[in-house]
Amino acid sequence: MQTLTDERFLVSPFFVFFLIYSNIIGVGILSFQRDIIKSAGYDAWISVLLSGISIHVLVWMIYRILTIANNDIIYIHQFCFGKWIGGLLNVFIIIYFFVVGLIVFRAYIDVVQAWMFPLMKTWQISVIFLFLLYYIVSSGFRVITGMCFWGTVIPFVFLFPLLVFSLEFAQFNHLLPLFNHSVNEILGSSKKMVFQFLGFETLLMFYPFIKNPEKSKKWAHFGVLFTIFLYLSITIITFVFFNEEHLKHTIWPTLTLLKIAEMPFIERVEYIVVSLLFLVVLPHICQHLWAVCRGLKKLVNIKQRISLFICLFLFFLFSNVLESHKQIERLVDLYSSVGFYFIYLYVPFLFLTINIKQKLTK
Amino acid sequence: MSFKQRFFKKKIEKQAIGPQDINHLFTKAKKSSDFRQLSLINKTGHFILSYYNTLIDLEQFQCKVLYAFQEPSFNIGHIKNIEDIRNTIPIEDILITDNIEVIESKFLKGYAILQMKENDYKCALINLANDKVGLREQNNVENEFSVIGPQIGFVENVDINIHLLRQQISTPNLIIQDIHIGSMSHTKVIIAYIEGITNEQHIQTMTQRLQNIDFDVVFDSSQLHQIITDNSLTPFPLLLSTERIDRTVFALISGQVAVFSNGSAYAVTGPSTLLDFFVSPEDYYLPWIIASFFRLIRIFSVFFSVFATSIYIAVLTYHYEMIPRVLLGPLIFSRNNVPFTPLLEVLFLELTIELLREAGARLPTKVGQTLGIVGGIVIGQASVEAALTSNVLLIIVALSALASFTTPIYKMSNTIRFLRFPLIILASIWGGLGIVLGISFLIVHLTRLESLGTPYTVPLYPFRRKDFADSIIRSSYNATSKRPSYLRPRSLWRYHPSDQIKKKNDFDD
Amino acid sequence: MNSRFFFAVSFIVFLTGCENERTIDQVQIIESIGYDQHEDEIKGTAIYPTFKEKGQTKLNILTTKSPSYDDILPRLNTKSAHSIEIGQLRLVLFGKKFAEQGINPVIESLKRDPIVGSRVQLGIAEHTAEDILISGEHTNFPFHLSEKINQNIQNGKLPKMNLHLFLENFYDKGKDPYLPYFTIEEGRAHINGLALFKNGKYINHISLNQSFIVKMLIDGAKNGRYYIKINENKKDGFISLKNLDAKAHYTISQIGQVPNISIDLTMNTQIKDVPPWLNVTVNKDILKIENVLNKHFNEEVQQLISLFQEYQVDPIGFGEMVRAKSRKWNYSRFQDMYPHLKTTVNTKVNIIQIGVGE
Repeated sequence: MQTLTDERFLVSPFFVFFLIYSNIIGVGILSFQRDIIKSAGYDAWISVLLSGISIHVLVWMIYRILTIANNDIIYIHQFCFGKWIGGLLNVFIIIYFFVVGLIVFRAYIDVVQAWMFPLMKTWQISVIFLFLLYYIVSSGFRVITGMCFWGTVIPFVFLFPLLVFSLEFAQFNHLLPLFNHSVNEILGSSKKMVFQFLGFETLLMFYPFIKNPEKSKKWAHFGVLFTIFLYLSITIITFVFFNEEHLKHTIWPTLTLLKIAEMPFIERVEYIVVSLLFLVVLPHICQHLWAVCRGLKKLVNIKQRISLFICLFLFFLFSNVLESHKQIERLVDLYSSVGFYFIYLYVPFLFLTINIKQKLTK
Repeated sequence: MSFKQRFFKKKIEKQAIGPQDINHLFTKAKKSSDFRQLSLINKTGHFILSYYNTLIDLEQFQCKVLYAFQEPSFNIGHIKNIEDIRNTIPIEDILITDNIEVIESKFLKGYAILQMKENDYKCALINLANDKVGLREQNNVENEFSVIGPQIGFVENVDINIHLLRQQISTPNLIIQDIHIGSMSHTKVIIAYIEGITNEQHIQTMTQRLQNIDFDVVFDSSQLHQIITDNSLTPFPLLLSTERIDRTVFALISGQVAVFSNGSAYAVTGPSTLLDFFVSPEDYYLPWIIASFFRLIRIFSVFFSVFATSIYIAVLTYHYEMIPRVLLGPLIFSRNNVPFTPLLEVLFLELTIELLREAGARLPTKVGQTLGIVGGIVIGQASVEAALTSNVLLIIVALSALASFTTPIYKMSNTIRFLRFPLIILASIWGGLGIVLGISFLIVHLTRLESLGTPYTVPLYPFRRKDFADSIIRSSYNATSKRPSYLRPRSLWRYHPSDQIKKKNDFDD
Repeated sequence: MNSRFFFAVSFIVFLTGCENERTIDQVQIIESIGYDQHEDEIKGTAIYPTFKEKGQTKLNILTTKSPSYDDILPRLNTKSAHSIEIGQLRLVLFGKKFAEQGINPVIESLKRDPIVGSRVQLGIAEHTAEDILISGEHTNFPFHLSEKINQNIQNGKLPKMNLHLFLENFYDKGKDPYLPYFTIEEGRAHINGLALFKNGKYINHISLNQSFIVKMLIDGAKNGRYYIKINENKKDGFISLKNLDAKAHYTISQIGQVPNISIDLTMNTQIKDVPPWLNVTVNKDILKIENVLNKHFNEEVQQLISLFQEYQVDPIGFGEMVRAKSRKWNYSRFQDMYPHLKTTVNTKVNIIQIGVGE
């Protein structure tokens, strides 16, 4: 199977694991437990599994779509719906990627302001972040993939073991009785959980950049599986550490949970966690930014450097306009519902359309 | 400026400077007092030998050339043609040419020019060069010392270096190619590689880049290194320069290319990766478990050296909550009375250490050592007494300076010490977040870097599991029988570990 | 993006980036703080250590009065040369009077503040928090009160506790929080029991020996000493135990109506001292001691539980246990039946070590 992109820019299928993983994990990992426990209580870990499985199905669908077209979503839209409708859809999807990047960017700064530097102005820290973003995204997809790799490995190696410290105060009784909630309640939590899995849609954009895309399928599923594992373990550890009521009173449960860790040479590791989380969100933002620039280039043929510069400028503007935590939460809610419909309605719709289209052309 | 343009420019300039003919050359040379021109026989205007007496080996000149002509049995009649010189003078390296460029460059390298008659354009160039004069004889390793293993290093003479190399790699596959670089120096630069192992692409890239160089005098191979490097906007050395033979040989047999330059005791090898710089040849002479342990310590010391002082600043300026109860007292107590912010305190001490290092390197060895010790102790002690710095910081800075010197390659240890400063600044602005920002910049930068077109951070990223056997740890020789795959060698196996299948016998059986 | 622009921006960022600085020697690190009710006002007492010379640590005391607890720290700030920081806070002490009004607002404000750690210890002072804090001033040993609690959790009779666990028990409907209870003995602060809470309000306190039983019932003890007065065949005596390992196992039956909880307490102990009329090397006597101990602990546990039922507090978390076993658990319903909860206790004391002497 031939690809449309120059061999030099391709990444090997193995890295799809990291691309998918770092696109799913974002700032949400600090606070998702609080959202999912609202509906299904201590049974919400089932919801994590359920929504994870649905993501596997969606990844499979996206791969089917992409294999048929062997190109990215910009092309697929124009192929399926013609120049004008397809173009409009492309504009939407570019805006979607842009907003996702913006939300993660602003939400991370929000965490920093809440936990580390309450006096810090948004513009100060965003300026230096934007420099870094420009540096990464302008270096191309291979470097972004590199960031995904390091942004997965370094935080995981340093942060995951810290969860062990909280087991000292674990109350496994919390999880009992199992299955004490109705199916509706569990599905309600699953819907909330889906938001945490959003982000893997960038696969629709970077597909042409994978060497032997056929082989990458396996790694994409591994990536999803690994995030499910991570979410599940964090969920369970949080549930045994906090009781339901306590969790509802905690805005960032993961950070509060890690606060308990104590080592002979260091205490209060949440400062390290918040800092290292930067490495987690960075590839996430970069990929979405890259997808925006790539999309714009294919759509209206703007030089990627110029569109990247414009995007970063807009990032700067919007992140300073969104000053309060409440505004950010409202934007996140909007995004989560749009994202939900995007992956559960639009992706299957696209799946059907492209299959029909293919049959017709044959 | 593209290479093409540069190439043409070079030609144009050369023609402008170079002499038009041999007489022109001689008129220029006659201005120098060490230029000699004499007739070999008692017939003026015939058999004129011209040379710089400071470049040639006078003994050879007398025994081989003068003697040949003044020997009783010598008959001038035998030499009818300039080519017949070869039969008369017992020197193997005699070149006969009329190309003025060749003549000039050879002449300046210690060849004597022999003309049959005055104003003859065609002349014989006799190699009387005296390479060894003025060069050091000792070839002990000085800067990349190791306790175990050979202590032989390269010297400033490229021929001796190649001789040393050939002693170790005795195969005709070891190919030596030379290029002359430098519009003034015409330095002999040698590209060495092993055919059938090294990927042609590396050889080609290296040759291409060296050929494209336009420079006046090449003092050292590290200058070449800077010119041919993939990206000059980086503090990292992208090629490895070493004075150790075993290191160079190891690079060659792994499938790298080595470059030697005359007058330089350092070979430049490439493509190299980040981890190559933390490998010491000693790792291969020690048992692999011990070697791996020390290699890990070396890598840890790099991290310590880069991050220790910035973490100190971040914690003391922004995150005092992170200090454990037992450390709180000592830290506050040591900071007590220090009038500066942690940033200034750290910068002061770091610069002091850099000063000591720099002074120690410049001063004569004996004085340098004394000054290092005395200066270190006196200044350190006095600045703590004067409450300019805290004594905890003094320990940290001294340790991190020490840690940076565990890196076997000097260029890399400089880089490591340099990297501290941006991190210190970032940590003083944004604390822990600043450090992570610095790490992010560092990672992106490293991921972007390439050495002769090979990713710099391989085998970490792009991740190569198979090449991990000899990277962070040094596995046993059974596991390192393959060449690293990221070098794309032409043949993968270095050697075949014994085929004996190791059966796990039951004990006492 | 030219370099001049870059430098301009980084210069601005550099100049403005230092607002959050809290250099370690430019702040007043509060290690313990106490709140007391004084008529209408609240009196706050804070201890901060100063480290002037090597080995010469001094504890300093700051006090202030204010109508609201919120205002205590800002007011203390006006009395200090450096800004008051609570990032290294290790102990929050409440006077008994204050605690009777409810300590939850203070605790919740501590929880909201990200710079306060989760391992902060809390405590109740019998008289006033001020007394307890001042009593330790001359020790010049920073963090000594919080260390006292930690040490007693490790080796003594206190169950595991800290800010996180207090909040955990506070929010948990099926469990009530408890805190160490400080009194002054011969001018020194000393832990003298466990204060019980209901909805953030102080209810009563129990003795240290009872606290040890609570510890065994909740966490299972690893360490700790216990002293029993026995009376057998009209002979008095004392048995001193060193607890090595204790575990409680709960079985809950009759989930529909009032639950019946049976507690199996297993203790592996070392005998330290016995009355002279018992011989620890004789098997018969060991059995006898074990029986005496079993009986003693059965009674003690039973008594303690009825005491809790009387106070309507549930530090052991029976509510939580019942919740974990039942599909439909209702807090107010459990609240009503808590006093009628039936418990049976089976203690099994194993004497596994008798020391090395005879």
